[in-house]
Amino acid sequence: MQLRDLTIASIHTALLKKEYSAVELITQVLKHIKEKDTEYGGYLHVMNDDALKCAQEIDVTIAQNDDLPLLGGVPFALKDNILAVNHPATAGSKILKDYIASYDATVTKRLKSAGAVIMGKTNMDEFAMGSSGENSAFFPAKNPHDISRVPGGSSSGSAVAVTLGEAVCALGSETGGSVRQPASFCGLVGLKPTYGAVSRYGLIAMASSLDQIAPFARTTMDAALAFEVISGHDPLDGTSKKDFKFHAKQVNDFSLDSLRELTIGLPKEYFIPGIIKETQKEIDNSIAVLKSLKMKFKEISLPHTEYALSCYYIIMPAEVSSNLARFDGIRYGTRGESALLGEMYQRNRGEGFGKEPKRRVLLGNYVLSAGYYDAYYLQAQKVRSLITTDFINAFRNVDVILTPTTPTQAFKFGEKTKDPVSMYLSDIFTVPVNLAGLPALSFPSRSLCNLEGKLPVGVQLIGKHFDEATLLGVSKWYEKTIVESC
Amino acid sequence: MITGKDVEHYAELGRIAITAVEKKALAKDIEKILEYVKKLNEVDTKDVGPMNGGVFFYNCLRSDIVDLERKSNKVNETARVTRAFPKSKDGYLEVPPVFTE
Repeated sequence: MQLRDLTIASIHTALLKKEYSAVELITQVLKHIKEKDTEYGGYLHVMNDDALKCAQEIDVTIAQNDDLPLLGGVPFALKDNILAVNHPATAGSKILKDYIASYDATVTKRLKSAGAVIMGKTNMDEFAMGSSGENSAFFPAKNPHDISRVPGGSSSGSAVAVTLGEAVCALGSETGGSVRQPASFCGLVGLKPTYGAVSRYGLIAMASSLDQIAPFARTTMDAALAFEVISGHDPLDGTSKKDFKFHAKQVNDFSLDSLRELTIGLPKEYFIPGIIKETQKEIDNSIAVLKSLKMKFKEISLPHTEYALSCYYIIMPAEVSSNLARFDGIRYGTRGESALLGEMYQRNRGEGFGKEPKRRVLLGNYVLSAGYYDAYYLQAQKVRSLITTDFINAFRNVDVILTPTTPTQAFKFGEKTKDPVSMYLSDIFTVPVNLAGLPALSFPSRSLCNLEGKLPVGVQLIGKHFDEATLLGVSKWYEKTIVESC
Repeated sequence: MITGKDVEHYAELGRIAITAVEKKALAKDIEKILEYVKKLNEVDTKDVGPMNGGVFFYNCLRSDIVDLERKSNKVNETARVTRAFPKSKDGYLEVPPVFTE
């Protein structure tokens, strides 16, 4: 059994045909994690006992019913800001190092009911703030394609776990590209759903008007199946959309004819000199592959693109400054000793938060302050309207928008840690989507068999609100074409 | 220009103790970020309304009902929450005094 080649469908068939049992599968994955993970740092916490117990239950189900739920026996990993009851949830921060979750996030609950086996909690930039994984308060995760490079962030560990075969799928969270960017750096499929498509109940919040839970997978169909299970209305999340339901079957049924009816927009503002040559070449090749499938292309304009990152770095810290107010070390988490309550807040937070959360809380306080509010925060919210309108206008003429996911491939450790703005710039192509609440997907330009020792490059598809099915459909046909040429 | 005093003020608003070294670095970083986001001033936003949230603009309420399953002994979520208290006395959360004499 090659762990790296497993898919949800292949596990489903193998378990039902009794080629191996769920316990055998999970035991092997746990062994693989034990052997590999100290080197790559994907997991912060591995759930050995619970995973095995869950696998045993799956085996009983198979023996009794000769049937399995959709994700029965499939190893999944959760980013450490998504709660799983009775297990740690540190969000990559020292302030939560001793915190044990007291309930399951809605996505966790849904995965469990669909039979998925949760293997553990994955490494991440502290409170999901970062683009490289280097802001983890514990240790940085490393890119499996080149250990001297970052896997991307903030969902660094989830990307590493899926790339190495330590899980078949993993959930991450997206605020400005934290799933698409690591998916791009690690050669995975990452799907950022429409704002409101997936419940965020039990996700440790960073910036609530932007956050969305998002799956990683090695294949498009696996991403579609994971999305089917986690999406849909949840009364416990007030921003969750009432009448939305996605079915992976929509992607399965997506025909070559439907593909040929689509027009893809290429926004001129995304094809800038800042893109490195290797990435540009891969993107050009990918466009050629889609053209060979007889898709139509059209140049479009998203005029406010250049303001998106500035807009994001006002709105996001403003929301961070209030969302992080709940972490005080008083009711849970790590508490120091102080004689006075006020002093205790300051000490717990001063010692518990790393550099980046401090920077963002302070910045948020600044832009929300009297005298600065109109100039910064209100102006950013207005520009956010303009950015969203750009997309809505563009989608009158095209069905999907294609861009590079990131301007560069995975960078080296330490390359961008000295200058926060240079780190922020690596999200320049992913941030606009979160501001507009749109769905977007990153797929690898090459399949593994064709990588020839090169670093992966991600291609980003942006869709209309709640049109994940089309993005996954395009990605499915692309994947099929490049795998066949292997 | 962001001064050390400004940083102190915003850190205090955020209830975060910072060291002298941090203060210097934060002033420099925040200055740099503000310099970058200044670009937004170029945009003409006359007659443009602010976008306040993610996507939807309707009120979303749920009924205020106690979830008995979560309260039940079987699930006992309350006990799990109180178990997380870093310091407690007879099941109550213990904190240092807010005021001194």
